[in-house]
Amino acid sequence: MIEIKNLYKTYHIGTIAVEALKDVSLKISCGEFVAIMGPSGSGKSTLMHVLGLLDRPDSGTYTIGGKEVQNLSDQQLAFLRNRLVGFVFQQFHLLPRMSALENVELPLIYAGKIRLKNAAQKRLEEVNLSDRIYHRPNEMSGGQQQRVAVARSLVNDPLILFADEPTGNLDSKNKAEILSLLQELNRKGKTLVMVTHEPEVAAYARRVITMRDGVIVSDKMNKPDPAGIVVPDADSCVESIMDKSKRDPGGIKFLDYIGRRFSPWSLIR
Amino acid sequence: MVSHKMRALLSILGILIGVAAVIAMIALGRGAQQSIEQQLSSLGSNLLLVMPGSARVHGVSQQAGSYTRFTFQDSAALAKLTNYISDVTPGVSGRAQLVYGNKNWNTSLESGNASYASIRSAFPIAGRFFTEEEVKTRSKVVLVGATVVKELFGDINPVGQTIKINLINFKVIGVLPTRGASSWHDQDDVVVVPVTTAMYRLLGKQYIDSIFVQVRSPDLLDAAQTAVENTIIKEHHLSAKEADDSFQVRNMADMKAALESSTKTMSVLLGAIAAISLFVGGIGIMNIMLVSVTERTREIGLRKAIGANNKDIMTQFLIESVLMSFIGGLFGILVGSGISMLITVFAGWSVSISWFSLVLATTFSLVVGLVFGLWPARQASKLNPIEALRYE
Repeated sequence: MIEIKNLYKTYHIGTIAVEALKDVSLKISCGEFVAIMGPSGSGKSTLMHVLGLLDRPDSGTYTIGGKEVQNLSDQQLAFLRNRLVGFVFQQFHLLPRMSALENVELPLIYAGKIRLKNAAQKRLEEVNLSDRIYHRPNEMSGGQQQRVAVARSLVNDPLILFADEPTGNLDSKNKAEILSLLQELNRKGKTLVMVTHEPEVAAYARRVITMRDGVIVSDKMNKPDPAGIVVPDADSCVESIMDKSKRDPGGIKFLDYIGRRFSPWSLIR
Repeated sequence: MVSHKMRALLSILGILIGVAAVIAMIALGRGAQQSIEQQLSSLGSNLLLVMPGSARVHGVSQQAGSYTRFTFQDSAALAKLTNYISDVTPGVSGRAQLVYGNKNWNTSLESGNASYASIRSAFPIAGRFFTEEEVKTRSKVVLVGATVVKELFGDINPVGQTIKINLINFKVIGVLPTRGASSWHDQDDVVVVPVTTAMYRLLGKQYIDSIFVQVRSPDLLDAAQTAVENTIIKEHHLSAKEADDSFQVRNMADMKAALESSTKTMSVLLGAIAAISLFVGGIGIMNIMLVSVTERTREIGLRKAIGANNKDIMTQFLIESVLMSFIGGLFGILVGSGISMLITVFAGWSVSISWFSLVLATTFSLVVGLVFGLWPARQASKLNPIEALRYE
């Protein structure tokens, strides 16, 4: 489903050029649970950002679901990020002024699907937070916040979930909770790509890719595929999603947005 | 969150002050204009004042009236120009010594015929005006101004009392309306008598000092002026050379235009001050929005990561700044109107709040929000999502 070929990416920090990705080629198919490991500065985060459409490679090709995406415009990339991928971050990145439910609804707003209100609620129930939907992030524990973030990443039903050190800020109990949640999602057919530097976290994944200095140094299977795994056929689905974007009435999305977020008191909250 | 609330309120306050200033200043300017118009109409509206010119004898200018001497024939001739003119009153003026009981007072004496009341807006507030009959018979009747009433009569009702003017007994038949002081003299320190009485009984004048002419409507003023000039030239058989300085026709519209242009200057000045405060308020909003963009960098990064495009981010921040300045505008209208009313109540200035200024202030506040929000919103929308997410 995902294929990258000869990817290069160089950052410039001041006058120093940092080669974050050097000729990286990789293939990830549907239903996989991949962990990307490596010490800091190895390029694993850059690889995830490129895979997650947050960043563009300098050269090389990136094909997702049968479509080359490295040359798409900002607007198209934003659209694909909204529909195709979900992110879970180390720092959770929940908006502090909003309740759990509103945080989970956020991707729906940008998708113009705000009317599917109970979709957000259902996702929160799936991560066992049905009793916390009106709580603000600061009223929840780290594990609960991260589960809200997972619910948010799932709400638009993405093809791939990217997790950037999802357990980096959690204690061991919550860590295990989040990881088994991710494992459960993978078992249900979600493709997962997780960046971590801890071997015990990577052990939850079925495939472990190790990077060092911008190149992949090892790529091995952890354990055989468990029985009963659902592998969806996602190839060529990108085209249909892109097509849908052209038919989307942008005006409705915009008005929804105003109606939802800009009631006068939202300013002073 | 408290700091957020505080900040939003403070920047709203900036716009609020700007809008309130716009409204109060415009109201003040208009009030001034209206009070000046009122003063002008207290002099009598649509007036032409015909006065004799002065003769030059061996190059030395003589007193006004030494060249052309107006008589009742002149005023009668002018009254016949009914196409332009609705009323005419001839008059003489001078000083007079009044005595009532043990008090006395020196005041200015004016005179006219029965039309004086309507032409000079001098309908008495108590008693009555003199009649055409009383003018013909040189009756010894007088109307007194407010200052004269105060000085001579105190609390006594002056109507029906007898006073001495230059040692001749006069009957007070009415009290003139208050005109207020113009800066150079007290317009209420006056008595008005029939023109014939003034000429033959009091001042000993044979000729008329001036003729007030009331024109039918303001747009006829110029035409009426020409007609009046022609009539005078014909009546006095003046040559073209003499016509220039043998008499003059003064047009109140000139004075009115001068006064109006000065109030307009004042309005522009006040408006400029208000516009500056609105501008400063706008800079306040821009400042707050820039701070807000910096503070919410990670939020912007996250919104981009979950699918917001540049336009969405830009819209969000633009709406926020427009909303802030709009709220400021609404409250500014309330505060500005309040200030205008307070000025009316406490300072006694007449102010008037116009729909125009309300609409102007509201539109302006919206535009300020839009213009000053644009740059911060662009900054926000151009953020790179990865860098924004990592921002500490």
